[in-house]
Amino acid sequence: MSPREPDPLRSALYLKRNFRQLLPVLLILALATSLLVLVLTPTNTFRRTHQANLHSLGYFTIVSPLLEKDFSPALLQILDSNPDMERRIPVKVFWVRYPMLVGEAFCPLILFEEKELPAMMDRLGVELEDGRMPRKNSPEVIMHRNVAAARGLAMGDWFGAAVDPDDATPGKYQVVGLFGGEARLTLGDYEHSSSPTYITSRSGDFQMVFARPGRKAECDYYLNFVKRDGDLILQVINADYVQNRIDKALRNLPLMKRFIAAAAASIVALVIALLNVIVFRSRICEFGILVAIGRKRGRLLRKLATETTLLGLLGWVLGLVLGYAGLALYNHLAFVPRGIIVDVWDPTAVWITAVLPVVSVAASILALDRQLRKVDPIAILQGRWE
Amino acid sequence: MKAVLEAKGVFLEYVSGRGVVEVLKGIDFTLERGEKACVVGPSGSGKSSLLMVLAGLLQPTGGQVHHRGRPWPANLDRAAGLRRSNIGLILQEPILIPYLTLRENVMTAALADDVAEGMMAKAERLGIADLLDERPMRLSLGERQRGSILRALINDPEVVLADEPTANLDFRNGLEVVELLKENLGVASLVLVTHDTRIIDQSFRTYNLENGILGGG
Repeated sequence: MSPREPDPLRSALYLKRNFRQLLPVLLILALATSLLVLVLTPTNTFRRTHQANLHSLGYFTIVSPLLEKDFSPALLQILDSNPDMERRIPVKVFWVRYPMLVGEAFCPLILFEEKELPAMMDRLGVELEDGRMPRKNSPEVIMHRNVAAARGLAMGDWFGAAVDPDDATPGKYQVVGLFGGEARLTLGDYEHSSSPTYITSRSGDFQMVFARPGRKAECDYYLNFVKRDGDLILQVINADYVQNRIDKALRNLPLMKRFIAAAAASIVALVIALLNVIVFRSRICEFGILVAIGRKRGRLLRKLATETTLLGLLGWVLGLVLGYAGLALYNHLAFVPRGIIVDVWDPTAVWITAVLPVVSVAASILALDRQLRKVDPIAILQGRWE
Repeated sequence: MKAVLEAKGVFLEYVSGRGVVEVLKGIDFTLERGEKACVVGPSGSGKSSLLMVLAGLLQPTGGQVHHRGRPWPANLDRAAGLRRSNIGLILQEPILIPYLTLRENVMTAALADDVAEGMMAKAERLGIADLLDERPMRLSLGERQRGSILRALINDPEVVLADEPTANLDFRNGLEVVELLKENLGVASLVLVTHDTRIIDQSFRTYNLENGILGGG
């Protein structure tokens, strides 16, 4: 039996031997994809930053009175009646503002009794990386490394409204230690902030509630629905509450992403379809002779569609690689030093940019089908094709 | 003998800026199995158009073309399938796909993928066996024309239609191409369209096409 000859109309052969000619199509798709990755992925900084700021709420719940100025003994008794609570500690909670990619983020400044700090850090899984722990009855704080970087604060620096009136954090604090990890917090001493001579003493107390192991949902349920005289009595700040707030705040963000993706896909599809038509017209003799020797137009359209699809996928994958690599580099050079959290490997852009090859391939196939239908083999064979 | 290709009262006209142009005016033509026919005539007489009508690439505006007693299908894809199986087409300009080797160009027409041995034998007879893995740009015009003959013969067609295959070659090369074509036809019938009567011999039944009217035969 005679050896088998491979199909000369296979798309891979065409792509391999005409790679340079197809480079513009490939590059436009790759660059458009990478541009979308570079523009869209950093928008996850808004959600990621808020999540990092509020990560600690997965370990405890903060409550404050909803109807009273401070926790009365009766209210504390209601708290203590929660069968799923392990313990509670009084805290003061403020916010440390720091610049985000756009606008500002707020990281909790939680002030405890100094003796609670090591246990608290242990629960949150954070370790002091630089400096030392705050001293009792002092305005010293330890701060998440990225928050300090975002604020431009170094060890020994002071911050707060008393240092800079534009700073929204009441009082003044000195950074004496830095820590890393998931939870973005600033931790300091409760005793000093409660001193009547200090401005922060004016702010009401919060209670930090720790649930029994594995009972956080039940514990929070109690806090959310406990009532006195038919009224809810506690403002409960937990992960669900905050997530809900974040979702509401960011609910319009996908609109922008979808609009950018749709606009980019439309423009890129048009450009790619035009380029594919130009490439097709440069191959008109090829299709003229193939039609003349009896190749069916359906087979030729399948060849063109496969070539376009392979090229589209190749351009898209190349764009993803370029986009994510570029973003990783930019993250390393620009975002990380500024304490800006960007989830570089967020796969959302993969799905959003997938619209580029899909739309551009579909537009190209429609355009090429139209071109193929117009092929007049006689005109081509007789050199009359224009 | 049964006709493999038959034109019955074929008319072909098109509308141009000069009004309706009649290219073919009631052509009757029959090609028997194994027969060699030659259509001669001056430029613009409609020779190539006749060949394209016979190949099913052009629909006549009047009359019919029959292949083995059945009209060419009006459906383009069905006509293409029939053409690929039964007709070998050789053109004035040996159009080969530039990014494919000669072997791959030939394979674009092949009906099966196990034709390597047959292709090699034919290529040897055409004197291009050692050029099969070359791309067209490395071949001379004569070599490319032999390549297009190989492509036309790869499926052992019933009919070979050759449109001025020697027009771009010098006389010696042209004569050689026609000889090679005749030698490699096997049992196929041949319709050769040319304006150069020097390349045809007694083995051809000769027709004269002038002003769209076919004479002789």
